[in-house]
Amino acid sequence: MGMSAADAVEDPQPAETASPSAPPAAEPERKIATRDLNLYYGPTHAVRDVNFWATPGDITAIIGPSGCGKSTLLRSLNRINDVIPGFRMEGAILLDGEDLLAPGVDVINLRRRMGMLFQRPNPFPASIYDNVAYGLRLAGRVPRSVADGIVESSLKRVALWDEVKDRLGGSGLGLSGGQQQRLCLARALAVEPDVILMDEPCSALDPIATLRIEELLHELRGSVTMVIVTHNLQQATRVSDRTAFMLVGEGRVGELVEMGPTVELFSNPRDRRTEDYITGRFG
Amino acid sequence: MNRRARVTDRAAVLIIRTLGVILVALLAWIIVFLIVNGWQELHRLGFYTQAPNIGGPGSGVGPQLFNTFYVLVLSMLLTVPVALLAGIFFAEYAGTGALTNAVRRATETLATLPSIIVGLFGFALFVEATHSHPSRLAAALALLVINLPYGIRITEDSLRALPDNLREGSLALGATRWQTVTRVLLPAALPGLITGVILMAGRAFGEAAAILFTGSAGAITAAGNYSLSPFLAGDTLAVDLYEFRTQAEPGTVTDARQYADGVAALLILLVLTFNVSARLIGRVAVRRLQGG
Repeated sequence: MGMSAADAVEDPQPAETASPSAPPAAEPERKIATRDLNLYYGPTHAVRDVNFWATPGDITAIIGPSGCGKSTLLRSLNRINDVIPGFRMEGAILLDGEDLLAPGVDVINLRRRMGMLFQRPNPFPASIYDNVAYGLRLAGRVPRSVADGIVESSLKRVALWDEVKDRLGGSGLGLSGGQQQRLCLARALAVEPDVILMDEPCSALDPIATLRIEELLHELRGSVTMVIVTHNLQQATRVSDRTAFMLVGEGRVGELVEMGPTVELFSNPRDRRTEDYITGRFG
Repeated sequence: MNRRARVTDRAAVLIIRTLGVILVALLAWIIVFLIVNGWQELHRLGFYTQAPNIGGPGSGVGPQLFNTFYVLVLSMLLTVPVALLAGIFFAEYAGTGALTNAVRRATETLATLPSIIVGLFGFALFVEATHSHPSRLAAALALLVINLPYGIRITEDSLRALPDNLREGSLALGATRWQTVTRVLLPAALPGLITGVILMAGRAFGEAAAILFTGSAGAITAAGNYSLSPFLAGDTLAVDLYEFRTQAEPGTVTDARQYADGVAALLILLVLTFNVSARLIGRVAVRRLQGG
């Protein structure tokens, strides 16, 4: 479980496992973790020496001002940023202890284990049914009855089933923005990922649609490990168990300033810069 | 100031509307003109079924009609797959290397070649160099040379116009790049691709110069037959039209003019029918693929 990862950010004795009922293990479990991760776009150093992790079944938020590299960090976790020409990674990314940057890693397979939600809902120009079944069918032919069941259960998990069950053959693009984002979440859930990465998933949604997504994230807690990048500090406090704060540091390179339980980070930040940011005294 | 802006705005709208109306009227006038002139032949069943019989009674364009479709289908079968694959390569796989830039520039240059040059080139390459004679296959290959640059360009542009988050959405679900292309991007780009096929087919219907050298039997009375062999020569309607208006000597062929008018009318009706039906089929395909 990547326990040996150097941890320059949190306390050597993390506070979050200090409750009396906690097992004697000193550190929290890590579903996904980075070790001294450095990210580059061509000659530009975008993110420096990040040791980030997410605890299993929890929601971990990444906050920070624009340009601090939080989206880049998130998008490196499932190696979707690989498609950007010139993008480079150094260090390690551990999923269940396995280094995703090691040579010979099956990127296709690891992406199947990590779903992703994007800033703008991006349903495919296909029917609602085909959108949800897309991931299943990538691995090969799926019997209709099996696909039917998974499509239904996935749409029910995102509370979209009742709204669309009579028009599963209709275009996914015909739904409202909030419905589209829930469709995309159902599409990701259909392949039973261990982790879901979310890149400001509510930034294009109205407040009501945003709340519905947040409710869904609460319901998924425990069964899926979630990492959410958000601009919205209230959203981080509402949905997340743990929060990581990133900032543009020396040489305009993004850094992870501190990470910890959300309640603690917002009520009692250890770093002055974190305090300045969350209290709006940034600058 | 405000008033002036409003007047300018109204004037601009008026000019644009007027130009639009003129354009549509011009197109309608051409079509009506051609059909009216060609009506004498168009309404005669034998025109479509009989072989040319110049000077005699009951002449028709049956073989040329057959050849037109034969060459169209053959050239599309050759061109569309190559154009799709090359367009996909440029849009999704090729980087910005020197080689890909050179290839891209070469295809763009190819697009500006006059079709008469393509015809002569096709004659030299597909006919002379292979020690054969003009054939439907050579004609289809000449059309490939003409259409390929357009096909590649349209495929590439249609794919590039798609938002990146479609690609990323698919890749993030564990799709390979090829799965992303075939299952998400091509269906999403279908409307643009259909327009491309229509434009290419229009060239195949209408091209005379290139086929004259590569596929024509070379004489009005030898317009080809209904054989399915790609190695036989055969005039298309456009070639036929050219031959009738240039080779038939005045006086010797009394109904050459009337015959040519018929061919022109038939050609434009074919093109229109093809365009409309391709759009309709495309609309159904889009609805099938994209949900609706």
